[in-house]
Amino acid sequence: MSEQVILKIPQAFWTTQYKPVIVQGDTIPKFLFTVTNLDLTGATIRMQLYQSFSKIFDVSTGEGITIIDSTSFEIDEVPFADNNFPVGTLTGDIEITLANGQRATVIKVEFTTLKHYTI
Amino acid sequence: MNDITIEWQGQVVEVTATLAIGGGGGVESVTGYSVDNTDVKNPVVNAVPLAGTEVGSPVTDDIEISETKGINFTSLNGQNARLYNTVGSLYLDSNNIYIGKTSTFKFIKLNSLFFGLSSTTDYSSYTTGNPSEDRKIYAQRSYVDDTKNIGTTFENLTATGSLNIDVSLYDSIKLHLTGNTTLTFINTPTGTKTKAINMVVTTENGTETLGLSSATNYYYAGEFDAAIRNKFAIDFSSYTTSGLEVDVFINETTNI
Repeated sequence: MSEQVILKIPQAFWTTQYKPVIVQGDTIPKFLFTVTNLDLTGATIRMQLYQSFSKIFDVSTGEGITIIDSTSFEIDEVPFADNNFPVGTLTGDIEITLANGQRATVIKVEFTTLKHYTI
Repeated sequence: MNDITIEWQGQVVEVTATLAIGGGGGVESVTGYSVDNTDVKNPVVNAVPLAGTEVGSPVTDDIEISETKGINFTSLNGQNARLYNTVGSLYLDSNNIYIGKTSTFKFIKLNSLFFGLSSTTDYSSYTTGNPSEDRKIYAQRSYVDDTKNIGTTFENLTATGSLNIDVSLYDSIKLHLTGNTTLTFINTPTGTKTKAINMVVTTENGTETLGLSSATNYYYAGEFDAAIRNKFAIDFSSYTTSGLEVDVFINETTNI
């Protein structure tokens, strides 16, 4: 059993002045994760986001996720043309499988896409 | 504890995460004699609680040990001892039990069925002839009334007529005759038993007579004198062949 942290986009308004906000049709910036306590060497990482029962986004190591080194990885940038995310909150998680075979889904993702008004 | 921080740095969202797999806190595995790693992500540490193992931290509930499981007391020379329970009986498997200092080996009757120290077999020690080392303890085979060592007396200060004396009940008898009296001894020994009683007889007027019930195998020595304090020593012995023999000694010792 592992503890789980929440990656919430956007963050609550009172947590920081500059917050990442994702608008439908915009380029989604890459997310650079710096991890302590885990050795990502040889690890496999996957992330899937769902709206209700529908899988909207599915990335994994080498296909949307890049492991930088033993302590960091990134979810690659999504070009605006591929940002067809529905307005609303997607829910998913990030699964990490270490080289020693241990696996845990330690990050829960709540990803909210805002409506794009300028068309 | 896992944690995560998110910062918006231009074109990159920087996420700093402190993560752990397997129990949290960065612990990935647990090893040790009492650890069950069947589920490596959920190791179970089977530890004896510290309560009760430290001075000033006594246990607050029973210590439960499964049946036939017990406590092993090891010894450097291999002379181990073991304490365990089987079907409600506590077994102490050891060479010796020593009780010293001011201790007392005491039985406390907590149940009406408690019989104390009992055995159907003589487990007393083997005697080698060295009295400094061996003290033979005999198993108790029947109920012992320790008051028998003191004896029981019977007194009748107005004896007259026919009077039964229960040999099984009394050890010393005192009679004061107020009239002519005939004694009959009852409940005399049988089988191979024996019993001796003492008897003192005095008279009210110095004229009363005393008779003993006539029976076979009664032997008399001495004479009854109504004027003095008569001392009787009577031996009742039952023999396998001849049966009961009674020897009555009257005033045969000192001048009473």
